Amino acid sequence: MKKLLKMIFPLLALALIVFCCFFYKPEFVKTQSSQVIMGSVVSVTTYTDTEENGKTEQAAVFDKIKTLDSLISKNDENAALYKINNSDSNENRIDPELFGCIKETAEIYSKSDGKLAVTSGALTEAWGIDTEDFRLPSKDEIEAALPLCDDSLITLDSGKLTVKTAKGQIINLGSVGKGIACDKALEAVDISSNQSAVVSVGGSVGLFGAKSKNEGWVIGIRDPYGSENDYFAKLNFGKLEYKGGAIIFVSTSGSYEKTFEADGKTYHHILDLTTGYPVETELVSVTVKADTGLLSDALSTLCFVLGEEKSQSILDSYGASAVYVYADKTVSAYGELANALEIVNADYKLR
Amino acid sequence: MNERKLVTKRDIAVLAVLVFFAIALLLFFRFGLKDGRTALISVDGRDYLTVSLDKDDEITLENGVKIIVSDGKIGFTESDCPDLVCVHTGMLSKAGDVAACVPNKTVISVSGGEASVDTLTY
Repeated sequence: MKKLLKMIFPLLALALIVFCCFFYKPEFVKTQSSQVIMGSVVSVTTYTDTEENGKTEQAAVFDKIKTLDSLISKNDENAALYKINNSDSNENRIDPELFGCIKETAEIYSKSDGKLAVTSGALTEAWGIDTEDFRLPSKDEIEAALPLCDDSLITLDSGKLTVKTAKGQIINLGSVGKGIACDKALEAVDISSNQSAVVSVGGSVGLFGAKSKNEGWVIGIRDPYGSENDYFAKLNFGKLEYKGGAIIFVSTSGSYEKTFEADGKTYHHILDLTTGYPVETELVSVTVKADTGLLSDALSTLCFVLGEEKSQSILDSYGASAVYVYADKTVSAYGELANALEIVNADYKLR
Repeated sequence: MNERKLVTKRDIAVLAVLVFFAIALLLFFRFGLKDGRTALISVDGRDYLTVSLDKDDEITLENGVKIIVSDGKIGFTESDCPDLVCVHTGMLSKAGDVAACVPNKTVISVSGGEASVDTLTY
């Protein structure tokens, strides 16, 4: 009898542990869903009090992004931007949100030494970028398109909310659309009472709210030489959770995405408006963290075309930071992201 | 004096064995259980089907896209899209892995098990 009594404490301990195992429940329910919108995979993961709330929130994010697409798409005949680009009039009054996107993108790209412009559409259409017919255009087509890709020819009137373009100019928000979509996603997400969400729009990421008390968000940077789900490094945002780490936007621009081959040469999709051809650089990708999705997306493209040295002062001016990946698999990080970077593929080395 | 000690060596041994089993159980429930990974297939914005990765399977969707589950992995095997990015993505196995056929608006995403990253940037 005495022996039995002595067994009680360990047995109780065991029972308690087993009980905890069975009834272990995370504080929030994690739910995830994905859709194809704007020609990209949009994935939304939510940590909410109930699964139902998660699903509702995900649906709201998808709706926001669909609405955005009907505003900023250059290829959809019903989209506001398509209508401006194809309008007979050279001066058009536009939606304030669309106006804001065009103005901000033009401002950021004005720092690109003429390599990028919000009016890049004439050239990107000659190349068939963002269509199923990505191709090598003739020299003549490129020569004809380049003079139209010039933001000094457009006038944006903030008072009247009008945009004036020269004949044949095409405004193109393709290089910032995924980032803007992350900004819109934030509007549909409830991060009060410790709920949180992760949104990825074609690889542009929004991290909303704190993941949990003990864990920070971790995102992988795609391995430019691996397959779609491989990453060569992690960004551990837990290490940066200074201002509560409430809202983080990260975008990547890389030459490994959207490529085609012609005459034995590989062409990628990031075009240099000073040459009319894809940017020639030792970089294969640049990842940028910034305060908004639009900024992170625009700056990742800007850093990719300008290179590490020239882009750093611009990053500073926006309070942004970056990870640069070179073709020889060397990596360098600038600013805050340097503290979050952890290389996990041994083929990659810090420069 | 033959009073028994409050804690004997045997008690400690029993306790140690119990703690060992408790920890084993904890690990089993937390990480084991054949991990119960599933993949969600969504088509045209709708959750179409959830499949278990523990059982081999072959699925043909209404849009002609073919998907196989084999050896705990899932992936696209056939599609009528021009670039076949979906098929080239290969087989998915880890939680958080995603493959998509953009022209056919079909997405496969794996969940369950421990994910080492929350998402990828690319």
